[in-house]
Amino acid sequence: MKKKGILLPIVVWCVMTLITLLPIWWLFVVSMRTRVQLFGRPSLLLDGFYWGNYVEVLENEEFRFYLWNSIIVATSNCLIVTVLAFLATFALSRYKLAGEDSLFFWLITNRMAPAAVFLLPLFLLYTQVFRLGDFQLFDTRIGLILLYCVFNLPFAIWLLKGIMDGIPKELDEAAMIDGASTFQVLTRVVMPLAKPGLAVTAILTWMFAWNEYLFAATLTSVEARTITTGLAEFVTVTGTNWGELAALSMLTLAPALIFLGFVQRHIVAGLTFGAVKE
Amino acid sequence: MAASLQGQGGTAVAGRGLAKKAWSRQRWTMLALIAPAVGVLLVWMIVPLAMTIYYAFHRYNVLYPERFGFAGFRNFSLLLNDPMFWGAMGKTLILVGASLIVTVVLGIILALVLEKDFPGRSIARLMALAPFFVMPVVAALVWKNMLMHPVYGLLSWILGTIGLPVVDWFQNWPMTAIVIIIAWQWTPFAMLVFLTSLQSMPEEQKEAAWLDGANAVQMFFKIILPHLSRAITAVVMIESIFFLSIFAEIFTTTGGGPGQATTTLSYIIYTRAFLEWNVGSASAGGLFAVILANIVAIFLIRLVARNMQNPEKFG
Repeated sequence: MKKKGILLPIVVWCVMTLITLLPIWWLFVVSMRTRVQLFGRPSLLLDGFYWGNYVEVLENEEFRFYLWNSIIVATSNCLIVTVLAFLATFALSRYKLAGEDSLFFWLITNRMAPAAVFLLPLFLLYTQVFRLGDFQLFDTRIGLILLYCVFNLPFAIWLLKGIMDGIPKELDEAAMIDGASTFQVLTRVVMPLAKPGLAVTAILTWMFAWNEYLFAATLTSVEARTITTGLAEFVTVTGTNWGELAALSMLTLAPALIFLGFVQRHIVAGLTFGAVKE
Repeated sequence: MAASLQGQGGTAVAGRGLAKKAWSRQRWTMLALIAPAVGVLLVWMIVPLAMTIYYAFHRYNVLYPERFGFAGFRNFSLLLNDPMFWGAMGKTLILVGASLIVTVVLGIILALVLEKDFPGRSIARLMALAPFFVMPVVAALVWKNMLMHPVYGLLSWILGTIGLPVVDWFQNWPMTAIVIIIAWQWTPFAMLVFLTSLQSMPEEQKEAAWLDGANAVQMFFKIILPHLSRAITAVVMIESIFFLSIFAEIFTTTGGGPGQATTTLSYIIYTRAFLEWNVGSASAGGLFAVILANIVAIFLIRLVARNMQNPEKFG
């Protein structure tokens, strides 16, 4: 296994990257084709740059609205979850709490229950229980934002706990003795050190909220429709214009790929909750 | 770990003068910091769970609200006698099991081959992870309509060009097709975790094994696999969380069909709830899903916790 040359790894990498990227490349190729070209012979090569599909999609008011909803929901959810998880994990890692282990266990267990289990009770709560006069949480952005907290918070707490434990306790004790308040310790001492972890947490929660389908499809109808549901409906509604569908899909992929570039270095430690270190 | 934290806290406080007062103030701060997170989880997780338990014992269909009443274990017995439910249970286990095996085995093989450093590796790594970030809905749509489509799909075009018979994936091999989509999204992730773990392995350990005359097979099972065990449990745990609740991939490709071929537990709960509006039955099914998740969780978390407590053993 030692010094066997680097040819084999490179070949395997190429084949693997080809397989992983082929569907995405194909999507891109289709998004760059006119309607007429789409019915021609399939080809893996780009026939030229045709931006018509993107223009078409972005000029469609409905899709712009869906995209906007998705951006608001994912971003707010990511901010709330990251802040709450940051505060909670700081407390969890600094002080011993009675029943801390069972709390942790409970968090993980609940994250493991299929999302479908929570769907129906939440649907009933959103349409019948959580309402003030005419206002109900069903089909609102705030409803989705709060809901995604339930699925992202355990994940975020889990992820940040390992990172917080890794920050030496002596640092914030020293700051405390110098007269810093808890808030100052959090923002001036702990936050700068936890930055990479916080970035991974924020980006992954953003991704999960951005990509979520089941709840977005059932708990919204018009006002808070997100782009995932818009995409799924696209196929039936418009008699399926594949070029536009591909363009829209590429648009949903773009932020993910950009973020991926940022967190690439920390992602393994982040995704395995620190169990595997780089 | 927990015990050592307590010990540190205890000595630090006892060592200083104003011991008790500071300690209780800290405790309040700490509770205030945890409260928001716990509060959100409590309302949005415990309330639905309590409702699920409540409705599981009641007869309730949204379409016939007047027929509401206590039903005892009737929802459960109906469900347990329903072959569709057991079918869905089996399909869930097959889907989760097959996806886990494929991603982990492929991931290990790829990681072993790619362990070596070569030019352009960091870019290749980044690109390999791309499918992991694709929306499940998009992944499903692309695979179904642009790759596996029997007429327009790229795969059928390739198969046709080579001269092989064209396959209608979602008609004839629905479960395989879904596992392929999942494997496409998750294998790079598994591979990356294993690769990272392999790189942390001390070189001397491998050399010592070679010098002792170990062959490649012994090397793999005696040295590499034990070293990877922590990474494997981590991958299995994270993947099973996501695989157990897979929905978008099924909904957008097969819709549970053909027949019941891809109706999983998640999917059956969804149809009971939102097509039949049978709250009682859906809740009973939901409780079974929670129990199943708990069994998996207890089993896996014990495993991970044990591994994490002996890091020096697994490195």
